[in-house]
Parts: sequence; structure tokens; C-alpha cells
Amino acid sequence: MSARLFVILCLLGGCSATTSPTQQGGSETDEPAPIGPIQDPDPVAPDQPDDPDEPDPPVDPGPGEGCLTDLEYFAAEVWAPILQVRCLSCHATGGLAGGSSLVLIPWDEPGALLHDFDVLKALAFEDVGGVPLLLAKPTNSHPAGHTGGEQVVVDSPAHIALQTMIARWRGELGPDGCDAPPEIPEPECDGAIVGPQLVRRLTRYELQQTMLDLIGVDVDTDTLLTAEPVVGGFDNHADSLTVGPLFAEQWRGVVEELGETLSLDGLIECSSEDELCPASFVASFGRRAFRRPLSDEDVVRYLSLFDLAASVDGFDAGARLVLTAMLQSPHFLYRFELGQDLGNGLARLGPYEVASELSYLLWASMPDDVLLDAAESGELASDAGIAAQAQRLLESPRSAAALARFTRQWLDIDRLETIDKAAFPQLTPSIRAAMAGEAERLVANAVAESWPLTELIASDTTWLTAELAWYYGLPAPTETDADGYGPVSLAGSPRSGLLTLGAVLTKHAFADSSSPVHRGKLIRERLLCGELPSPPAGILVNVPPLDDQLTTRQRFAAHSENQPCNGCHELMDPIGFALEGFDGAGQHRTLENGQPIDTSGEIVATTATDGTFEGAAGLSAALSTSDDVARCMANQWLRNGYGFDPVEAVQDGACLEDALLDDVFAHDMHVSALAIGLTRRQHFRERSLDPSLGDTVDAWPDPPAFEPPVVVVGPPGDKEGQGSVLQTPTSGVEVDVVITSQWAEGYCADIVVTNTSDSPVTWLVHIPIDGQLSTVWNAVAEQNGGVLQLQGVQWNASLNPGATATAGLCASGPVPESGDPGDTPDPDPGEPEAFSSDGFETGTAGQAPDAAIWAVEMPDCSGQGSVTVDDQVAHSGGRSLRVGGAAGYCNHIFVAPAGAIPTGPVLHGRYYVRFDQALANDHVTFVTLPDSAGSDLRMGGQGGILMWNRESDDATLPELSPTGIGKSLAPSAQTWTCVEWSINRESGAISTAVDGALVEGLVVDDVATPDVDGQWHNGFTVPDPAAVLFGWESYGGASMTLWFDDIELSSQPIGCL
Amino acid sequence: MLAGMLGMAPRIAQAATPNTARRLIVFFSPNGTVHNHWRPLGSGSAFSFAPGSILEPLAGLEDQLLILDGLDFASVANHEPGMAAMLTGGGGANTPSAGRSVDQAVAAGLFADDKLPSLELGVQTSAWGATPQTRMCYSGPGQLVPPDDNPANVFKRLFGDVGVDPLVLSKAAIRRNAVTDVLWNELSGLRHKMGASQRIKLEAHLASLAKLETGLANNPAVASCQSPAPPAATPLYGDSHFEGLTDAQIDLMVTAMACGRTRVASLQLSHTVSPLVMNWVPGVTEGHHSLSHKSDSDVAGVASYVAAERWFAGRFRYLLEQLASLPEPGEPEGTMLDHSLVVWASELGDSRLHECKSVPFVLAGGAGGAITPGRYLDFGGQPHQRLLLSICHAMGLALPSFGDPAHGSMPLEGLL
Repeated sequence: MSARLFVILCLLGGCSATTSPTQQGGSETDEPAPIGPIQDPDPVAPDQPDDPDEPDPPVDPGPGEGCLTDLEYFAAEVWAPILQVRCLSCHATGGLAGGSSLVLIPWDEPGALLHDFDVLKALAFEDVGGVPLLLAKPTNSHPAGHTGGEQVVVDSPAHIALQTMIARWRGELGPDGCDAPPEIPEPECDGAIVGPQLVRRLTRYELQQTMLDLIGVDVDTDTLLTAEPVVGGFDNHADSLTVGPLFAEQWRGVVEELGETLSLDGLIECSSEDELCPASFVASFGRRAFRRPLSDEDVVRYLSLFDLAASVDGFDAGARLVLTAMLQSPHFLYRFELGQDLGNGLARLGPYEVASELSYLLWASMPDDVLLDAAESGELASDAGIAAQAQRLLESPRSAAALARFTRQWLDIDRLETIDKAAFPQLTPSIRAAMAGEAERLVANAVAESWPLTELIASDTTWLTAELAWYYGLPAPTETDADGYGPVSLAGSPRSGLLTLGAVLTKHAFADSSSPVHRGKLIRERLLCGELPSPPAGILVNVPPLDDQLTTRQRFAAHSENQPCNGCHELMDPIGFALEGFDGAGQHRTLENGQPIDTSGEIVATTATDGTFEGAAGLSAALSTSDDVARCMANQWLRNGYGFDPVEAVQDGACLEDALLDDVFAHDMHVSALAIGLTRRQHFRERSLDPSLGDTVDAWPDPPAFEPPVVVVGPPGDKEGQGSVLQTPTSGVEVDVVITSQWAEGYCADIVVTNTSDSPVTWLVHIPIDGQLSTVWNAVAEQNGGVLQLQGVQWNASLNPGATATAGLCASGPVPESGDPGDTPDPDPGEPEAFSSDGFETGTAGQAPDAAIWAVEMPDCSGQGSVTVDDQVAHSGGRSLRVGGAAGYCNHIFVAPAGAIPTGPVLHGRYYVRFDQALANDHVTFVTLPDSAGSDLRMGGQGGILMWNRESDDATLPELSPTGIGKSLAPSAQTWTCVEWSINRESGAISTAVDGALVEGLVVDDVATPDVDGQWHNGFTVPDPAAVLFGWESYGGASMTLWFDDIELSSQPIGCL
Repeated sequence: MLAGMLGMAPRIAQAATPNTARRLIVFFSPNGTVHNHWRPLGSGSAFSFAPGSILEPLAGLEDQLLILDGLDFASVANHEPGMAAMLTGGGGANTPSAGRSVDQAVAAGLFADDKLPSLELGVQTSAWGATPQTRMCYSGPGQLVPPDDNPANVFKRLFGDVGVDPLVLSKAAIRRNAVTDVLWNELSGLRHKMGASQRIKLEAHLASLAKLETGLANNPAVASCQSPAPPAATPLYGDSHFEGLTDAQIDLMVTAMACGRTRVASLQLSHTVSPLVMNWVPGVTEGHHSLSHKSDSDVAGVASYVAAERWFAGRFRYLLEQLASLPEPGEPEGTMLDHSLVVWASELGDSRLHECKSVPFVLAGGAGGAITPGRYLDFGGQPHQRLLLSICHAMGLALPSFGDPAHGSMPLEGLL
């Protein structure tokens, strides 16, 4: 297409442009294609024809305003912007779709408009599955597909135009076709033009800059973290940035390592001796990390983490854990742009939200103290305050980081350092680095010196190192900055401004040659905001080989001359040809393979930039004065600054571009006005309130259950040099160790700490321990060999005189003998009360067991259940008790000790059981302990695992959640299993061990643990068993043959045999 | 749903054989192929690789390979659509494969409770950010699963706890859990302060935390697992590092599987439209994508592309040899390769035409008896969704269809 086409269209009453706010869609170059389908161009108001004498309009343009004729509408909204741009490359004679029912004629052939009008109209009445064929095909929703893929996005302006066109032809829009407005209404630019409330995850670059400012560490986020989605060239698209599983794991790794290795110098401003220092550290570091002051809840939350580590490993460890957590916090990782409901559908951003907007826009990093103070003082509540801070930030040298990032993404010159250019050995690493520095300095100077856009694009000065100046064939700079760069005049040289930056010329080229395609594509997409579709399938795409007889331009000539390539390549290659005076490594040349280089070029199919020119200077001049380029720059800044595309996402969002451009024009086209202009928009301070804000939000489930790690501790001395040095126990406190449950291999205990002194203490106590600590609550424990150090947590660390703190623990091994310091209750257990069965050895096989020892009970009604002595199966001796456990209510059957059972505070039991098959899903009981009122405490199974069940409220231990089930175990069939329990008749604590190992899911302690004893605590009663019965009671359909042997009951732990 | 109740539900296809593969590996190299340099000579079980052809570096392993010709991506053409369709076969959220890529479908369907249901590795996949052009794994429609391009990161994630004092690990785990609790509470609380469009970000974050915290318990320790040495520190970008990064990732992948850390893994080498200049391969000076578009008349250009493709074939061979050198854990005989299903995939057929017809697929490994390797098969234009379904069946995942149900409702006949 060329300018002529647009003249025709303008004569018809509607001009259309291919300038687009987005750079969507891939094209056939080694360039990243942004995410998402191709979007549609922004309709632009009709221009007046440049030259009314140019070609004859093929038809009478008609009234020109008001209601367009079908042909006018077709020409302006369908033919030029859709058919001739997106369809013609295949749907043409000889094209890939030349055999389809849609064969178009290029615009410059006689009668093309009318021909194409008729061809399309003939297809307008066909439906496929209830959808017009003309909509199904280009949206790639036709059942048979569309070889050219998705060319039109549903609900885009192009889609609406096609819909309207079809409706007109089908007579659905009234006789004149204008009952519905055929055009997208021009945006009203008066009202509130604000975007959505946003949550913006920091990008890797922002994280790197922020970490530098926050903790002074340069974290290589680029290689340590997974890449962001790139949308429209930028990596900060708010709705594409998330914390996925890989990012979360990587960032946790980074932060945990930092937490261990970071020097805390300078981060902690108080003395660790100071009692208030932890809170002060949390508040001051938190204010910088979260970019806002911390609430009291915030401080408490992080202080508890501080205590968790500090109580074991000291102050620094506490600080390090706080740091590790804060850097993973959503308050750090996200910038919140949510604001407060103003009641009019808008939300007003808070001053700290605005502070982060400013600092990330202009510094790509966190706010400094001045900015946070400005938020605190209320300065940022006013437009003037925002403007003052914006100006300060922009003028600060620190704005270089944000500008450099913008420049690299805008011009797509990232990774210049590593792209392969083996064919250009002169392009050394230092030249590449200098090129990157040159690009950043040019843009930074344009901003700092308030250059107009014109001067940025066609600048006659650039910033070079002496080496790069030599490489370019220019004089070395006379004055240089600390990094060795200085200004060099380009006057009289072939170079000019932005487009002849070495970085641009080198990055947008092939590995072994220049590339008019790549360079043209860059300019088309990033300076003109034009769109380029993907090449159609089925066409032989051939990158011309290097040829020592031809210039690059000659090699690529076929692209622009032959159908179907030229449909797109006309939009790129002739622009790139103007830069052919520079090779693939950015050096100037006048000859290529001995032939003179033709640098004439042309821009077509734009709103305001079409024309021919000569060389880089001509191209730069054409672009520098183009309104298309100015508008495109505004769009790039908007998307980069706001993290979304307002033109796409917001009603009348194009007005934001207009407003920004107004700012730029009002400031003599200054580049700096683009950056500052963003802070002056209403969107910077207010947002449209998300209407779903008030909706009920379901509670989020609890975090996954944490498996306390098994602490493996060797004998004392093994830990030398491992950093755990026990501290001196606190004096003036008394420690009571109250054993709450005990089994052969271990015990659980309450640790009661009482302040016996006259002043408040922060307690730390030592307890001897022989085995291994398995779990601890209400305290932080550190085991060093045979000594267990316990310290309080947030809520019980400090004790006033006379006050008591209670912590708990479970451990393996024998019970500790005494606490140190303080008393250890060592109640003389005396002779244990005990019931010891005969192991059923005195019974007769096939008969009920010895009635002197065992009573048979059928609690409900007499049925098929049986209890008999079995001389074929035994755990010890020669006999056991065989229970023929049948399903059904009447078949319940048990044996119980004929005499008294132990009555001490803790009832211990031990038995061996053997099942002939695995426990079924149904609920069963095989041991039950009724109290004197007959209410049972039952040990049995459900869901295939061992379980306790309380008759009074049917509570189960563990809870029958998947996690809970996982914390008990399924006894093996055909195997003797040793089961031990202890039931504390005073505290209600229960513990259960199988084959000597405590079963975590079968423990009741004084803290309700979800999935374990959570439900148990709901209707908590302290059991007081009056009897113990062994047998079978099935509530579902489960039957079982099982054997008991070696049953013992005692007031003391028993152990397995 | 109603149709299903009336007995019209799609037949639940069962794997044709009770044998299943223990693990699935996807190996990707970009930009399609040049068929006349790729196709083996012969057919069926009597085939060989022509001297100088792309697959010749696999010579000697023929009895472990299934060369698949004539598989088309139905209704899909070009680089980016090909990349998106390659492992997903299209298909929306409501299809049996739920828009997942085949590796993710197998991981979700069979190994969801593993510590690492799947492991995604890449080499130089991310210089252009995360886009459908640079990603091949999907957890749902439009949901990209990123690969980890950094072997040092991968090592730390997989083996960082090997050899560390258990007491140190235990303390770290307690603290990490306390931190997670704080983050969890913050995120769930923050959800109430925003509307639905932003809330989903925090919920995705929560889901990520939940995924991190699932235990290792489901992956039994494997006795034969050798704790690997950490990979050498290598820059992640730059063509000259591509070779070293590739081998480091292959080594990590094989060790991770030998150690039972995961049962599904993928290795994505660069991405479609790859600018990679494989300058370590003699005769290659242009970017891979440029080379992939050399027409037959450009004899030197095509030769250069074939040389590049042969390098990928060599790395595929290296992966197979690594798997073949290790005994299958828990088995008295047989190698890991015998129990693995390895898939070499690409996103285009003939790249010069931007078509996804006769996309080159090579399967390898015994798949635990689920497939019969040692054959060269031509499926004559059948949709590749059938291959993806067959892969699921070989793994023991009995889905009724894969990807777009219009194309993937039956497995490839004669493959399993």
C-alpha cells in the first residue's frame, strides 16, 4: 500500500491508519513476538486529502458526512484497513488463497474497490453454524479453520466494522444502513479517564534496583528468576505478572540465601541490647521494604518471627528471619494501586501508593526516605506535591535506571552484549558495552536537557567512549564523564540520532549481515506503533543467502517485489533500506561487495509520515517531525508507566494519549514532558473502582499442614562448630516438668515455668533430655546433646513476678529426671497398679477365656460374634484370644478384665493385636473404655487407619481429613502389632504408640491441632475409663477375625515385649 | 453431562497394553525440519539413517527409536501457533486434557501428589520474556509453565538439601514454615481489599505457596541415586554457552529422575524463531531461524541447517545414552531407558513453508513395554492429538481424548 491509497480513502470521506497502539503479532524476523493475538488499529479521524489532484476517486464520495453509503463505509472501514492489509497477501490471484471464493484485487489496479466490494458482498449472506462466513473465517472460528489463522480479533474495531458491513448488506440496519452508528464513536475527552485498580508485581529489574536501594546488594535477578511475560515490548504488564510456583521457589531461594549471608551493618539502627530494638527494627526496615508504615498487626506478626529465631540463635538470627519473610511478603513483592472508595465509582490512591507510583515510574526502584516522608506529611495528597516530587525524581541522577530500562525495551536493544556476531570480530565486548551506554546516555540527555522529540530522533550529538568514536570513525570526545563517555558531534557524519545508535543497528540485524527487515520492523512497530501480521503459511519463505556479488538491498529485493511477500514487506523493508549505509555491526559503509549502496527509502501506509527519503538522515528527519511518532511515543510511555494499555483497556483511553501529547506540545515537545505528563493524569491519583470489590470473598483454605521435621541429634560433642551454643539459664525461675503421657519409647510433658523472683524476667531454661525432641509448643527449643534449652515465644517469654508460663513437648527416651534450674517434681510412683493378663495361656482352645480373669460381654444383643482361646496363633506362649468379629449390631462381642483396672492418674495399656485382613473403610471398634456412666472411649479404625472415637459427641482422633488420615497408620494384616496408650484422667491427654513409635495422629495434647485433635478439643471431656474391653464392634459392614495377646494395663508405662 | 448419563459418553479408551512407562521426558528443538534430510531410509522395522542425514547421529540406537512421520497439527500453521499446539493439541478447559500440555496432563493425572509432579528445564528460552513463542508447557489454556533455564538454580532446587546437617535443615524448615504461615495470612487477608480481577493474582500466589510446601514423602528415596556435583557456573546467555548449558540440564534431568525426584520432565532447547547461532557447529554462522528458511536451491544454506539439526540429534542421543547407562531403580534388570518414554518434538514441519504438516517426532525408550520401538512409521497426515493421547495411554493415563476432541479422540493405531 502507499500514500495514494489513503488519498483515495480520504476522498471517499474516511481515512484509516495502520498506526496502532500496540505492537502485537509476530512477523518473520528474529524478533520476539509479544503475547496475545493481533489487535486492531485505532480508528483515526478523517484527514483532509493532501493533494486533491492525485488520482480520480473511483466513485462519487456522496454526502461525506452524516450517513455513509455502503460503498463509502466499505472503503473506509473494511477495504483499506482490513482487506487490503490483512487479506490480500493470500486472497489474490496466484496467492495462497487464490483458489478460494474470496479473491481480491490490489488497490492500485483499476476497478479494485468496486470489484472487491462485489466479491465481498456476494459472500455476506453465507452463514456457517449461525455465524456469517465473513466473520467465522478471519476470526479463525470456522469449523474448517482459516489457513491464515486469526486475522481479526472478536469485538475488535475490525470485527465490529465487518459485522456492521454485513448487517448493512443484509438490510438489518434500516434502509440507509445507518440505524446503528457504523463508526466507533470518537472518545469524549472530558470525563474521568482512569484505569483500573491494580496490583503490580515488581519485575526482575525492579527487584534488582529495589534490593540495591533496600539492602545494598546487587542481586542478579535476571538469571536467578524466571522471565516475565512481555506484552507489547514491555515486561511490566501488570495483569501478566504473577508469582507462579517457579518464581516463588526461586525467589525464596534467593531471599533465604541473602537472609543467611547479608551483612546487617547499617540495617539495624538500634543496639541489640535494647529491649525495644526488635520492634524498632521491624518497623523501620518494614517501612522501607513495604514502602509504607507498618501497622501494629504487621509489627506483631514479624516480631513473632523475630522471636522464633532470636530466642534460639540470638538477635541477628531474628533480624535475618524478619528480613527473609518481609522480602517474600506480598507487601514487598507487589505495588498496590487500590486506593480508597470515593463513593462515586472512583478510588483515590493513598499517599504511599502514589509514592511508589512515582518512584517506580521515574527510578524503577523503591521510594527514598524523602519521598516516604512526603507521603507521611501529606504532601503527596496534592497535585502540586506530586508534581514537585516528580520533578525532583526526574532530575535526580537515579532516573537514569528507569530511563535506561525504558530505552532498552522500547528500542529492543537488550542482550546486545551476548548476541552472536561472529562475522564481525571488530565488535568486541567493550564496543558492545559502549553501544549500550551510548543509547542510554542519548535518552537520558534528551530527558535531562529537555530536548524536544525532534532532537532525540534526529540528534546531531551522541555520547561515545573514545573507542566507540574510533569504531564509528568519529573524533574522540574531548570531555568525558567518569565512565569515559563524552558528547561527540554528528554534524557532517552519516549518523543521526536514535536510529544510528550502534546498539539499534547491531541488534536489529542478522548475525552475519545487516537486515532491512529487522530495522524496518523496529521502526514500524516501535516508532510508528504499526502492526505486522505473521507471514502466511504455505509460502516458501527464503532468507536470501549471502552473496558476494550482491548488496543486501539486492538480496532482499524479492521480498518487496513479489506477491505475496510484498503485502507486509512493503511496510518494513523500504524503511530499513535507508539504514543500509550501516553494516550488521553498526559501522558505516558506502560500498558493499564492491557495489555502491542505495540508501533511498520510503514509508507507506501511515497517517502522517508517508514519503520517500534518502539515508539515515532523511529517515530521521521524516520521523522526527511526524505526529505518528509523537503519538506512538506517548503510547509507549503510557504502557511502560501504567503497566497496561489504556487505549485497549479503558473506555476512551485514547484520550490519555491525547492529553499526554497536549502536555508534550505545551512543553515545546520536550521528551521530559512524557515522563512528567504521566504523573499529571487523573489516572495517577484515581482509579475506577472495581465493581466486584464488595462481593463476598470465600475464605481461603489453611496452609498445607506442616510436618515437623525429625530432629536428628547425635551425642553431645557432635555439634561442635555447628553454631548452636546454649545460653545461660535464667535465674529466679522454677521449672516443673509434668509428664502428661508416656509410652515405652517416649513421653510428652508440660513444662511449667514460674517466676519466683521479685522482678520481671525473660525466661530461658534447660532440661536434661536423653532421647530426641520430636515436637514442642508454646516455646522455642534447642537441643544440644543431652540438654534441651527452652525459651518463651512472643506471648509467654516475659513473666512478671509470680506468673507462670506453660509450654509442652514430646520426646523419645526416658522421662527427664529434673529441670535445671528449679524443682523437678519427681513423684514417687510407688508400686504400680496393674492388670496383667495370663496371655490366655490358662484358657482352653475353642472355649471362652479363663472366667477368673476375663469376662465375656455382649453389650447389645447376642449374635454371631465369638471370643475363643486359639492355640494355633499366639504372640507369646502358645495361645491367644481369637475374636470372630462379625458385622452387625447384635454381633458386638468383647472380653474385659474380670477384676479392677488401675485407677491412677494415668491409665496405660498395652496389647498385641493381629488382624486377618486390613482394616476396611467402615468404622469399627476393637478396644473400648467406657466410663462409669457407660460412655465409651473407643479405639478402632475408620478409613483403614487406627483411630480413637468418643461416643459422647462422635469426635475422632485424628480428624478424618486426608491430612489427618495421613498422620495415623494402617496396621498390617497377618502381623502382630504392639499398641500402647496412655490416658491422663486429669488433663485428658492421650498418646498412642504402635510398635514403640508415637503415632502423631493419635495424640491429644493441650493445643488443638487441625487434622489431629482439633475436633477432639471441640467437645473436650476428660475421660475416666472404668473398664477396658477387647473385642469387635462393627458399625458398618466390616467383619474381621482378629487375635489379642499379652494384654496389660498399668498406672505406669509398660512398653512392648 | 446429560449425554453421559444417557450412555452417550465418549468411550473411555484404555491403554492397549497393561504395561506402562515409569516416566515421560519431552525434548524440544525448534524450527521444524527439512524432510528430505530428516526421513530415514526404508520403512517399518527395516529402516536406517542416510549418511549425513539429520537423524544419523542416532545410528546404532534404531531398536530404541520410533520415528514418526506424517503427523500434522490439524488446522494449525506457523511458528507461534505451532509452539502452542505442539504439546497441547489445542483443547479448551472443558476438554479431557483441559488445555494442558501432555507433560502437564500426565503429571496432573498421575503424579499430582509428588513433590515435583513435573520438572521443566530450558536452555536460553527466555531472552524474549515469557510469550507463547518461548513456552511449550501449559497448565491450562493460555497458562504458560516456565522452564528453569539456570542449571545452578535447578541443582539448588533439586539437591540443595543433600548433605546438609539434618539439624540445620530441620531448623530451617521450622522457620520456613513460620514464614509461610505469615505470607499465607497476609495474602488471604489482602484478597478482601480488591476486586476479582486483581484478587486472582494473590490466589495464584497462594496456590504457588501451597505447591511449594507439599512434602517429599511421596517420592521414595532411591538407593541407587548418586548425589550429583553442582553444575559449573555458566552465563545463561550467549551462544557459546548453549552446549554446556544443554548438557548440564540433561545431566540434572537424568539424575533427578534416577533419584526419584520427579517422573515427568521436559527440556526445551531455545524456542521457535530461535536466533541461536550454533557457532560451535562447523559451517554454522547464521541464526537457527534464518537457516531454517533456506530453500533447497541454497545448497550451502540447507547443509548448514542440517549440520545444526544433527547437533540436536546428538544431544538427544546423549540423553538416551545417559538413561541407558543407569539401572531402573527397584528392578532386577533393565535400564532407565527401558522404562522411560522419551519424546523429541518440534513445532513445525517444513519450516520454510511455515507449515505444521509432517511435524518430525521421534519417540525413544522401551516405555516399560508400552510401546514397541525400532520402527519408522508414516501416519499419512493424521492429527498429532492422537500421538498425544497415545503418550498418555503409554503412561497409564486413560483419557478419552487429548486436545481438540475433534482430532484427538482416538490413539494412533499401531503405535502402542
